[in-house]
Amino acid sequence: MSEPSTAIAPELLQPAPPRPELESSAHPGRTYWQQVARRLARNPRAIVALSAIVLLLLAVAIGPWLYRVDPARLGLGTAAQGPSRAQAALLVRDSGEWRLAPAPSDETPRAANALAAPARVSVDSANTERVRLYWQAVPGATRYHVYRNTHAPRTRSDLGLPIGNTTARGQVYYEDRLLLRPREYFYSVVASDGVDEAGAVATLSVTPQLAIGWLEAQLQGLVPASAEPSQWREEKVLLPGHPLGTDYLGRDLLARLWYGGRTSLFIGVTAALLYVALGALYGAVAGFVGGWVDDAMMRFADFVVALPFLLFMVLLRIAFGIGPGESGVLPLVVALLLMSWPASARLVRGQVLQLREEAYVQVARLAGGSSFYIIVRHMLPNVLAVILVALTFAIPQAIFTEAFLSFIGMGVTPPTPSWGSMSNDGIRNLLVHPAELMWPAACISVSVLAFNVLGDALRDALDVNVQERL
Amino acid sequence: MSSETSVLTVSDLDVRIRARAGVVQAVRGVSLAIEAGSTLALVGESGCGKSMTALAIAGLLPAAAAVSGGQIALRGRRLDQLSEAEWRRVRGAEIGMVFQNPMTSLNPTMRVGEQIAESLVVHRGMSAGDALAQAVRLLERMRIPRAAERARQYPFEFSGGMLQRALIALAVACEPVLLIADEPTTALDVTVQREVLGLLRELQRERGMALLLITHDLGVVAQMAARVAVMYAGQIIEHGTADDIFFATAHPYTSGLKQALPERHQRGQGLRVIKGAPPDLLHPPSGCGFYARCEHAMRVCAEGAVPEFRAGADHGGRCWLLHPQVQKPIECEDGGHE
Amino acid sequence: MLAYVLKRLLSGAITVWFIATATFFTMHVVPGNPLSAEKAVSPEIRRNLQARYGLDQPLFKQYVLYIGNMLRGDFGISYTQQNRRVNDIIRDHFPVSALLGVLALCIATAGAVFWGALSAQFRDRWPDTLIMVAVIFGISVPGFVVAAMAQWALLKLNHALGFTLLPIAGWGGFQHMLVPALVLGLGVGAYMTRLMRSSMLEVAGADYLRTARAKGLGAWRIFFRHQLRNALLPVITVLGPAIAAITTGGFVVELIFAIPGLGRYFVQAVQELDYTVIMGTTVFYGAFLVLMVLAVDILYGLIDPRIRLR
Repeated sequence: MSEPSTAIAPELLQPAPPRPELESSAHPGRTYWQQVARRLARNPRAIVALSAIVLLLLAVAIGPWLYRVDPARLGLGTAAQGPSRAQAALLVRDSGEWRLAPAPSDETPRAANALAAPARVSVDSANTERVRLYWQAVPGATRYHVYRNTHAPRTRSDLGLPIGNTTARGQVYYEDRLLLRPREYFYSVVASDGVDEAGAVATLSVTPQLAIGWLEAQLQGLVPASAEPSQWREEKVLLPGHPLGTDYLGRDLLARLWYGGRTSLFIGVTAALLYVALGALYGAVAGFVGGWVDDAMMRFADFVVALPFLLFMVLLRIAFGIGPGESGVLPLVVALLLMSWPASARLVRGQVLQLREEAYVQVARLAGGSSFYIIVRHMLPNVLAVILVALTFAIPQAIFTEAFLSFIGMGVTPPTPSWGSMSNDGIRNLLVHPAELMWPAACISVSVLAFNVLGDALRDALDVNVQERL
Repeated sequence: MSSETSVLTVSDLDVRIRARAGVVQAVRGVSLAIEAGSTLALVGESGCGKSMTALAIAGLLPAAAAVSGGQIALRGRRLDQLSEAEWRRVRGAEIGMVFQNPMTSLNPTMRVGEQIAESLVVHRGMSAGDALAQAVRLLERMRIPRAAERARQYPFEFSGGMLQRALIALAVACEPVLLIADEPTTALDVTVQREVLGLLRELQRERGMALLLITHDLGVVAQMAARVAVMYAGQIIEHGTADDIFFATAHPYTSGLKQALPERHQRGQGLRVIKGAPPDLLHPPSGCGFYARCEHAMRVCAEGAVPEFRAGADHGGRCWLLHPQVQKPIECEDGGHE
Repeated sequence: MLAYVLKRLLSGAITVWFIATATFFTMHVVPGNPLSAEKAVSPEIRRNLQARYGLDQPLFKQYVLYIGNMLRGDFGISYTQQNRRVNDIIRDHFPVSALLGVLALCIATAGAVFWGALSAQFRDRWPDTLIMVAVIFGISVPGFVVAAMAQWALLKLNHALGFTLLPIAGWGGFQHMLVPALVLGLGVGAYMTRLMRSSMLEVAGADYLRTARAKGLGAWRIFFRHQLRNALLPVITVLGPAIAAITTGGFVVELIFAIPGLGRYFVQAVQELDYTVIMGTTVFYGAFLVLMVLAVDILYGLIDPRIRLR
């Protein structure tokens, strides 16, 4: 304690000027929902998740309209490919067998080590439908073997894939039709004495042109079905590009993703909305009425919960329809509805029970409010919060379930695409073309993740007890 | 305030809390001392810094808070520089603490007797059996009937008042020299309050324990305290004996607190409140913390830190009204209770 | 405690009855008589099946027969494999699924407790962030994708190493179980890790931890006796649904890793429309899950005195 000997200047002893803080300065009143919105807006993860969801929904709604490609159109010649642009392809009309005049072969056969390399290996035509090679006969050769490699052979044993050999005597030509791509190939022709191959090799570099067969072009609708090969003037047709590539049946992946997204998200959102709504209604009634009615209703809900979920989903799915021509979407939604409602019923019932005993409800009752008024004005906002959170978590649950069921073949029926069935299809080509699995799996994961993150953020924002960090 | 016989001496304590919005100066230059066997009541409203002071003394400040200045000494030994390992020997053994909410202050999955015995095992090295027996004796001392049975029960089987008594038993099990009680009766109803407070007084007499009692309830202060320190906005604005505080108030805030208590003869009249709200401690005012709400405020009150003035033999207050140059009385003219 | 267990057992029995009834009536909503599906069923077998299941009798009588059979533990004979009893199918293949499931559950739970506690201790620092990213991955990537990718990765690994470190499919020894169990436990484990973390954080802020610190107890003692024990409670409650989720997820893992478990058999039966196997498996799994939930409840009761003694 100090004894200040310093005197105070007299004017400082004057009363202080009026201080505005004496008037209470409270925050401008915000309603509950305004606070919730504000909290959400300040949570960066929630914003990202919400944007992702909105983008996804927009994409599957508008995408198929913007990108008009039929997801069911097969393209067996372009199966399991990576992303490609639209390209002009040569229209190949003649697909019959190709023959050249055989070379005279009255020479006596020589042993393999005496055989020279074929001279003047040339290309008659080279496109991705077939590559036609021919060469000059090697004296004494009985037949010829043809190899194909994707790089120039470095040694005698590096000739690459043995794609075949000539069969007829004196045949000095060969047509390769094996999985040709428009890239550089190195063909090697080797003479043989019928048992062993010669040491000498003739190699030729060939880059086939992108081409498409007549029938295939008709199948894909690039050429009208009624047209005749001899009358069709166009040399080339435009092959559609595939921004994300194709699946194992040649169907455009991007188109399938859009349509599959529609299916998956539709099932996810509708089923979730329906069963949360049904459950909420059931639970609200049970909670509000109380007594033995509540007990009975909850007992029934417990029974439904005890049913093994997946097994019953499958049972219901079978029961509701495996008829041909149906997409299977409706049975799936109904099955999900029947199996998933108890969770939200329990949640809402718990909330209603709690709210009934809350002080402010008692106060409202005492003040003379009617039951209806109490429900709407006091209970509904709180219950709504719980329902909203339940809904946000129900959607990814439904998406997951649909994906799972489609995976084991109990979901949507082909050719209706869904992200789940696409994943199932994608697995068989995992080693060769992983994109077929990755794209739909990524879509599922992103949407599930976004909804989960949003659900978490929503739950925090709606909880009045969560203290805001200073 | 002599520091030779004081059990606890706090000098110029500063505690700062790191918050997202900045640094909050929760405790600003607090000094106090408690003698052996006596009680100091630390009074103030929520947010004035009294809990933070208590936590700082016990070394239990949350991670975001830290002592940023000043000293804390227990029986002459500096506490504010202890390592965590040394603190663990002090807490429980030399300083005991009782908190506000008894219903949640005990581990729900552990028997009550075991939780009391835990202290004894850790600090006194007693065997589990001995410690448990001692725990039962402590519960008996706290006047809990059928103590042996109770010791084997779980917290959810106790009532609020009984739990608080068990918690006091836990805090004093190792016979600490200082007991800090942070609002020990706030969550209890009035009759139970009296029992608990009575118990604390008895224990104090028996063991010569110093008691730091934190409360916002002047009624509790009246029952318990030898000395009182009033806190506002992180500072101690008045300290003295209970009589001084109640009958010779030396600060307008204390006066306001007293007047806010409803009295029987005030029936029909509105409650008197202190208008306004405490200052934001993110940016504490440079002058008196109560300046914005004080009816007697003068210009000098806003100019720099207010020194402490003597108002009596052992009675001090941080208010310019106590300056010899100032003639005004502190109490207002409403017909108060002097 | 005993009364509690008995009550739950009784309610469990009623639940199983409900499951059996629901299964029966659902299957009979399927249009057409099961036998009328184009199966090459010889007349004697047709007559046998008719007699045994009373397929020409009114629905209610069929139901009574069905329940009667079930009470005797007889699930009938497989439709597609006329010489195999459903009971035998279950008996042969369920232990495989059970073993896989138990292993997956152990991995999931142990992992969740460990990683969840670790994550909570290092809250908002890099270990926490890393673990949470892994958890997000585990929660949002569908199980079948993880299984497929794991198999592919294993294939590549074996190829790169030049020998088979772990087989990519089949069943036989421990080496066959490891990867499938890991994959199966991942989704459930991720969810449980997150739960454990938030539970630990909630307990960390609890008043009784403050009391424990005020008592001057050491960090390890506080962690094990006060924090962990209470934080485990919500995780244990979720064991029931976790077992259900592992059962479900097991189907896919069995399919992808060619494990001869009951799940794979069930999917096969569904694709072949083998009604008796479908129904029998469903009721069996239903009863199994009811039993598991009961076991978990009892376990929880043992650990939380509030449940045990009230």
